[in-house]
Amino acid sequence: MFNPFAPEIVHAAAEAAATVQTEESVLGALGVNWKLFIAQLLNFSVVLFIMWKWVYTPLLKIIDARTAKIDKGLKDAEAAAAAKSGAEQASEEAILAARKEAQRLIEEAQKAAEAQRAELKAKTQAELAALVQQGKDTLAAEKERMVQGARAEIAELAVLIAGKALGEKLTDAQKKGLLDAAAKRIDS
Amino acid sequence: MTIPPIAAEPIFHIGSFPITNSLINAWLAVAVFAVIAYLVKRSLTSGAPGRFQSAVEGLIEFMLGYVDQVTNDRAKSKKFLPLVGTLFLFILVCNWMGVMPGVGSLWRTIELHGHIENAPIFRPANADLNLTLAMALLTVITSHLVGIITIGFFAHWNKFIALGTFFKSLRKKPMDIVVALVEMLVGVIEFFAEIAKVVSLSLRLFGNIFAGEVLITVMYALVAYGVPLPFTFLELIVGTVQATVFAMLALVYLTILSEKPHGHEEEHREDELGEAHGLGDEHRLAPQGANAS
Repeated sequence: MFNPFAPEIVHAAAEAAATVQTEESVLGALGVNWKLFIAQLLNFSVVLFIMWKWVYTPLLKIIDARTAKIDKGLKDAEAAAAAKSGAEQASEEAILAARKEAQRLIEEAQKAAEAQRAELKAKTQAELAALVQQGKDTLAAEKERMVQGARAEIAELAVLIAGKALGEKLTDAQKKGLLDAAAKRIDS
Repeated sequence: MTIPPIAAEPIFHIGSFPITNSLINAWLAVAVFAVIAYLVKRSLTSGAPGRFQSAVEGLIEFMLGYVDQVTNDRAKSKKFLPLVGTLFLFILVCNWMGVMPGVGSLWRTIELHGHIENAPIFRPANADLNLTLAMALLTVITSHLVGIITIGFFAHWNKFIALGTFFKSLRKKPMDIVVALVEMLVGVIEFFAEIAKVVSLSLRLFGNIFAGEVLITVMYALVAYGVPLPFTFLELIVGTVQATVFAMLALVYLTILSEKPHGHEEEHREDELGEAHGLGDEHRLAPQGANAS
């Protein structure tokens, strides 16, 4: 175990005490020596100067510059993001407007086509109706003509038959009277 | 076994200049920093940082975050970081180099105070009061220079020799004159507090590292294998803690002396608040959050 009263320790303590007694001042007893003090002051000053010159000053400058750069970058990115979202919105709006316009155009075209078709249909129908009417008219006229013809023929035949049946020749005046009477009967 | 003496032993002399074992260690630490700083400087690029640069940047940002917590002001933090960060890193490297194999165990026979004895060639740099005193003095003097530059020569010294406050009080009520006289007395105390800062900073670091070296030496002398391990590990922690404490106190001193006195009546109360917490009040925390984001 450690014995504080071991001869070596006692000797060392006595030596230390002797040292203290031989030195003049308290500082001297503690080992302060102006030559060494200046040397050590110089040592620390050298370290301080080196660190200040080579490490702290340039590094702090670099760190500050980088912080400023990052701040600027972040702001730029924010602005870019805002611009992008603005552009996106604008393009979306444009697309929406274009889509609406297209829809409108399509509807218009459809309406126009519808109208045209209706017009065409109406025109065709009118033409058809006119044609039909014309045909009907022609048919009616033909029929009329045929009826007239037939009537005349029938009357003539009737008169002829009546004449034959009667066995006598009719006068023109009698023929005419008969024809008119026959015609009147057919008509009625 | 020889317990290391309080003063670092001169291993050899150049003329009348003693090259002590602690000085050798300090030079090694300076060399380490010179090499690393040169590598950093050479690898720096403002574009995408490499792994090495990222690591260094991470360390700097980490320290800057800590400094921000005390100063609450990014611009101030950037001004203080070179000194505070270097104090932290240099003390840390010196302390950790002190537990490397060979430190305290490689010997050279020298003549000291008329005795022939074996002195270790390497001794932790901070186990020499010269170095810790140099750093403490530099810190405190710098904090006063910072105070003079940021709040003005007279405003700064008025904290210690409150003549300005006294002359202003002459035009006011008698009670103000009494307060001014009390402030002059407090100024004297503040003046001694500045000396106490140097003494406490330097002796705290020196004492811890020197005691650690003695502890390790004793442990190795008792049982060379296994037993000293936890103590060596402890020294790593002590080294970190002491580096942090020194740097933090330096930062607090710098911050306090660079703050404007808020209306002369509340000046000392405010200073004490700042010293007690190492932080400002809540309303000064708010803009810091805004700065950090």
